[in-house]
Amino acid sequence: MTMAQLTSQSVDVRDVHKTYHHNEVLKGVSFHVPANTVTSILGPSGSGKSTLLRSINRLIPIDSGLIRVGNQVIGYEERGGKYHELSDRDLCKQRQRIGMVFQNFNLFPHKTVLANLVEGPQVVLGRPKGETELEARDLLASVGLAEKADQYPGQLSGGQQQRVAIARALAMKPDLILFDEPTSALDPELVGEVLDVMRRLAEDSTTTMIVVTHEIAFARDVSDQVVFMADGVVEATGPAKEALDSERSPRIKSFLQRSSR
Amino acid sequence: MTPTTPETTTTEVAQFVSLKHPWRIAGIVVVLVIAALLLFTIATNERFDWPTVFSYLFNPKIISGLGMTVFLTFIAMIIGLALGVVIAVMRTSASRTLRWSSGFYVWFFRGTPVLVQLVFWYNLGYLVPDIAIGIPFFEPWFSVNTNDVVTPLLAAILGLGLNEGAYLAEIIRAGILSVSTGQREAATSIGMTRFQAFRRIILPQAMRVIVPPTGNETIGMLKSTSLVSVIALSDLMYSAQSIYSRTFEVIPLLLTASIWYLVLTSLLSIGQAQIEKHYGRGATAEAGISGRNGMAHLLRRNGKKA
Repeated sequence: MTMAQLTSQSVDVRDVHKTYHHNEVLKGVSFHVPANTVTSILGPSGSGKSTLLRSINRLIPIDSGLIRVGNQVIGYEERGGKYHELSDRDLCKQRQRIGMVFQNFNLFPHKTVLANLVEGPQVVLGRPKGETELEARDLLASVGLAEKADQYPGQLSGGQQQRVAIARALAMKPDLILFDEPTSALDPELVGEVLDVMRRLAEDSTTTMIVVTHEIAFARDVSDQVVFMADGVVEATGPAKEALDSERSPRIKSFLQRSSR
Repeated sequence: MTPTTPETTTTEVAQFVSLKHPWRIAGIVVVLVIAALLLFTIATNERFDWPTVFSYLFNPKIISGLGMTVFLTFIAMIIGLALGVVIAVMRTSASRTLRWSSGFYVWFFRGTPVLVQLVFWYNLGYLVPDIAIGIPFFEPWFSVNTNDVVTPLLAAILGLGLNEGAYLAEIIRAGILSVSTGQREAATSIGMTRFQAFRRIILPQAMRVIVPPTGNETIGMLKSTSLVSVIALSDLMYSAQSIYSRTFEVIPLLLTASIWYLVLTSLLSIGQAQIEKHYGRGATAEAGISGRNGMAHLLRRNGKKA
């Protein structure tokens, strides 16, 4: 089984700050994600993980710092030593290369599963109907949902919806996919099927993945790197084993203890 | 295997007896009696003068008035919808200038009687005798007499359309707010521009909330058009009035007009139901509450789980 052939890009996050209503959510976050790798972002709720993830495709604009995907600065254009803010249209071009999978799936409920997948390629990229539909059907088959193409999202289980959402992100052939707690809204028995798809994606394709998750086992087994966040800063970063198993930080220790219960 | 009592292992089918509803039958009888009495009175009371009512039904004057009513309703709703979408988007905008100016529009046009607005547009020539285009304080490039431009028809279209725009703006705004922010995020994340996200993702979902009250507004508009009789525009109501002021058959002609209004509102209701069905795609399948497909789906899903 092969997923779509994808290119991939590195991600570089440098000293990112974000304040909401006098509440500093990100207090200078920096880390690097090499191309074609999987990074899991762990940490207690309220540590700024989701805000950070949303700032990578600029769903949330940051106050200061730089985020690069490949050689592009997100939200800005480097010209004459200055960073000029991008227009809505140019920002959309950057976002086309960055896929996102949401906690609540956010499939388009008024469109069939197939229509959800071809919406981006057809409307945003202007690609022809026949070819995008063929690709979409292949993608659905690769997440095990070939026979659901003509159903509406509301007719699927949560796990199936999330697999469709992953396929929708892949349909844009992104260089990078962001996962925002992709299994947190699922019934426990449905978590496995989504993690399986993500695991296969990590193994079989070349895309870069950044996953905000509470699934410690997934982070350990699948990711090349773990970023542990607490209170708006990166507490530890490194290969999964080192970052999680070295018990140098009491915060990580207590987080792992609570998560394993 | 746990031991079971013989009673529960028998394959006998359980017998169910439905609850009886004697008061429902009583209610049906009462309604039928009242309906029969009403029908009898209406049919036998000669003062209703049904022959006259039906003789005017296809009277050329009534038919042309009907045409005007339909035209005004249609054009005022089109203007109202176009304005409503723009105003609603402005009201949900990040720009304070847009929010406040659109807020003022809604405040003003919703806050004054439509009758006053109609008379105001009709008498615009009194306030502004000439309409000119050019740079202020210099000779205008183009100038016309207001009364030549603002005919009763244009006054009616402006009055009804601008007023309706304010109401529909609020309805459309409610629709936009009913769509979860996750939908906008998802649309944005696949690279859609704000306009694409609004047109393809937000608005179609908002329509489910927008259509029912807009149907209401359309029916309201159909009847509001009768107000244009004050500015001497011959709609259905005005035509009926102009006939009965000559023949004094007031009640029969009002009945003739009412029959046409009922025909039109019935047609609009049917159209509304069709539009609601269209925009219910996905949502009805999920809830399994409306339509045969929804029910069938619900049954299938339950069957699978069992």
